[in-house]
Amino acid sequence: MEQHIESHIIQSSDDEFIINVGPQHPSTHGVLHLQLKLDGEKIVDLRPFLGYIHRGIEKMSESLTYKQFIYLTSRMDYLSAHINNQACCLVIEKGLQTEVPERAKVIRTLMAELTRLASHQLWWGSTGLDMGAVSPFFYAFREREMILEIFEETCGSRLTMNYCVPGGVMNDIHPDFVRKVKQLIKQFRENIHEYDELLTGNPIFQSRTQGIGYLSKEDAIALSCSGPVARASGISCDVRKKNPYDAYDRVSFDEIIATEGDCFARYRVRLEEMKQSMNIIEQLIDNIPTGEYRTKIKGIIKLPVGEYYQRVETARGELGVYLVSDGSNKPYRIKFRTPNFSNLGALKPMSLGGKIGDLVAIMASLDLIIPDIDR
Amino acid sequence: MIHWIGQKLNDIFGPLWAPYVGYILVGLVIITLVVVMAVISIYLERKIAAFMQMRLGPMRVGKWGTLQAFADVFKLMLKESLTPAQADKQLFHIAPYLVLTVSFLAFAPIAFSPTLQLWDMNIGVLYITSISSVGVIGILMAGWSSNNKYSLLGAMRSGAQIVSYELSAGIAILTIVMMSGSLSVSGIIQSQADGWWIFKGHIPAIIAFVIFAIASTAELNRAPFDLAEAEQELTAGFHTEYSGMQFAMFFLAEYTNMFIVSMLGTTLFLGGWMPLHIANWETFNHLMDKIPPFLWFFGKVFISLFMIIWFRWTFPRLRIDQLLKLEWKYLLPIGMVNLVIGAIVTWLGWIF
Amino acid sequence: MSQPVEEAIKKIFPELTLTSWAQFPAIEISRDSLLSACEKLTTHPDLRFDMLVCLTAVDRTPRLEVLYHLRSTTHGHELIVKTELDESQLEIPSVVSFWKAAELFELEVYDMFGITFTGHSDLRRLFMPDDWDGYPLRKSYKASEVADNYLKSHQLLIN
Repeated sequence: MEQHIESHIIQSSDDEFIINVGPQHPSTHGVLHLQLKLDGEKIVDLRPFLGYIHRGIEKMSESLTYKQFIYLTSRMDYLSAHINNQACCLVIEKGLQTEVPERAKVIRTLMAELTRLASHQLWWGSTGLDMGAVSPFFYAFREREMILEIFEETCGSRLTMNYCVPGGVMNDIHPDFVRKVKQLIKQFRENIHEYDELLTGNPIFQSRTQGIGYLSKEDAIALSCSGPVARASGISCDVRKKNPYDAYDRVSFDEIIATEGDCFARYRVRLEEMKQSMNIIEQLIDNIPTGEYRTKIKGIIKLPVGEYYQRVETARGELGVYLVSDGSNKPYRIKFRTPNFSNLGALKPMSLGGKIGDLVAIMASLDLIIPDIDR
Repeated sequence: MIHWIGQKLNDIFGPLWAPYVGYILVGLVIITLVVVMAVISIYLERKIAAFMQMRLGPMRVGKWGTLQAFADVFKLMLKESLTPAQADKQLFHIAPYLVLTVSFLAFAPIAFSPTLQLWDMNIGVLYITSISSVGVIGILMAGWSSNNKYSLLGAMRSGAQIVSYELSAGIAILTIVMMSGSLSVSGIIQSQADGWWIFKGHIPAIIAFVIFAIASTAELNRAPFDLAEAEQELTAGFHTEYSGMQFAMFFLAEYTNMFIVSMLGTTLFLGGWMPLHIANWETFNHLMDKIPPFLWFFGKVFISLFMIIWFRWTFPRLRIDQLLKLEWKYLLPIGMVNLVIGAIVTWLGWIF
Repeated sequence: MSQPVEEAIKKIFPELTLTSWAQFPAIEISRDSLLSACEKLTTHPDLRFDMLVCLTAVDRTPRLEVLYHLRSTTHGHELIVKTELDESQLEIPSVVSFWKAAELFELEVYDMFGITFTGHSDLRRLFMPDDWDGYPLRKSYKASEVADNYLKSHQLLIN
């Protein structure tokens, strides 16, 4: 074992030295382990080591029924838990060829956008934190707390909601849901200028992020980046626009694209996405159709033999679910193409030649969720 | 009162030993004073930070959490001070004491009020600037001896940073020294009897004050210049490996230094214990004179402290190259030019 | 509007049969012609598959399928490329030179299925420990047995 590990350590010369960032480190937001080769403060080489939170979700899913495995996916990108569940439900519904009631579609979309909003707010707070500004974190959590309370009322839990089920949603929305969402949107619209005042307009923040962590459009394509990371490099890749699912085909919103490709562009894209999410929520909240919130699906789900695929846009990019069915009540093979895993590949080209401080800024702008990489 | 204490000591210990007992007593008083001030500033920092972040801050220990800092110190005292196995043990154990001692030493020439000054030496300001730069040796020792790359990086950053910013702080101080024509703390304060330097010295003094504020915040290793302990980059920088009371020493030293910098700034720019006077407002000036000098002094010190705390909880952190660029490309040249302007202003007697 | 990907594929790869995988058109390429096919897939003006969305494998004992999910950002069409491998010879050329994303994806497939990607510069176990026995996503993998053995050999088992 010793030998194995030896061979993995980056070789360094006398002028350079190696530090291990993680698996326990304040700015990796989880158990990501990076090995850095440094020349003074400059990053010469970087290597990610993964697996510290590998739970084998794909393997576990193979021995769970279709209704059970959905809930494992909440634990991949835990900040987009609902969207992960949604993707799995959509792929099962595709296999069963069930039509989901309109009401369920709208509720799912609303919940997905609220999830995205909460996720981006957490990202914004932790970006400030990574840059050494502690106060923004609390401003971000002020609104996030409201969203989590809305979730709690309707779904019973705050983070891993497990609200999606094949055929619709688990329960109907809470009677207070509409009122509280409207109140949230109103308050957030009033407060979002504080986000600009605290970070966006700050000269120190701008000098830390502008021109840092450049990712060209070609690189972003070659590295299969998705989500805000790719959109900040000028790639139009929003699944909600390109392959609308649930109620996204009936709302109008802009796909935010920037061309600079640096940390500041990624920051701005996410900030604008929050506003677009609010637009989507505002369009849907008054028009939740009446009717059933779930179609009846028989107790044991068996998908016909074949392959199924569904992609959704999580808060961090494109989540693809590849499902191979052998006709039994369990998936034969399931593969999650998670956005963070491919976005991780962009870390090295972005940070080579930068300082340690730049690495922190880049990691903040990539917004990696480690359980989503490891699965 | 002081004479009375001296008489008593003479009576009890005899003329040979009385001065030494006196020194020890003074030392104990200073240490108590420093610790009390540090505790107050820790409490202030936590409360101010909390209010800036829409929180309440410590609320449980004592009324409004006033005893929180004591509870923390008590916890740290009970905690084991760990030493890494591969550490350079001697240096590792000396470092925190060195840092703290240096902070205590810098208190000597500070004048809290006209009668309350421990040591009115004629080079007081020079003494403070030189003694406070010894602290960086303690930080370097801590970083090196921990045998941890994060600590070493933090210590190196801190060394580069403190040595650089000392220049700007020194030049800003020099501007005032030149205007007042004195290096002694009491001399500088006396020279502000007819107006504080920040008003009297107009443009050069204001520029010097801004430079001093930036450079001294950087010397304190506090945000936005807290690269030495940049939590998100280097976990905790040079004091990563310290725990228990040894960590508390660094912590205490940081807050003591905060006080020293505020006191120095107050002495140089804000008139020390001198009350605020406005020309031709006789009644107002008379009223201001009624407020005891040490209240004036501490009032100004707490305002400067608030500024430093405000900086920390508002700004993001700079990067190391930006930090050095700010010093060598902007602050230092501006400070130099400002020094020349100050010299001309003093020479022509354009001081109001 | 560019021509549908099916027609382009038929024209450029006349010898291959076009099938489908989920909602995407799919082609099956043998291991030996994979690199030359990738060359055509990335450079041909009608195809230009510049993004490797996903690389994964499916264990259909005794054969393993390696799936490449390709997307063209210029034309917007997508394609699944399938390569079948025999369990006795799990080797396939690496496609890192065409798509940089494959660097991480191939590591994952190697770790989970034991498929060796020849030409990959840094093939290592990405998620599992270096001395882990077996490849978890293979159908022949006995999870509890392997884990027990691992814990025993490292004296990590708590009784």
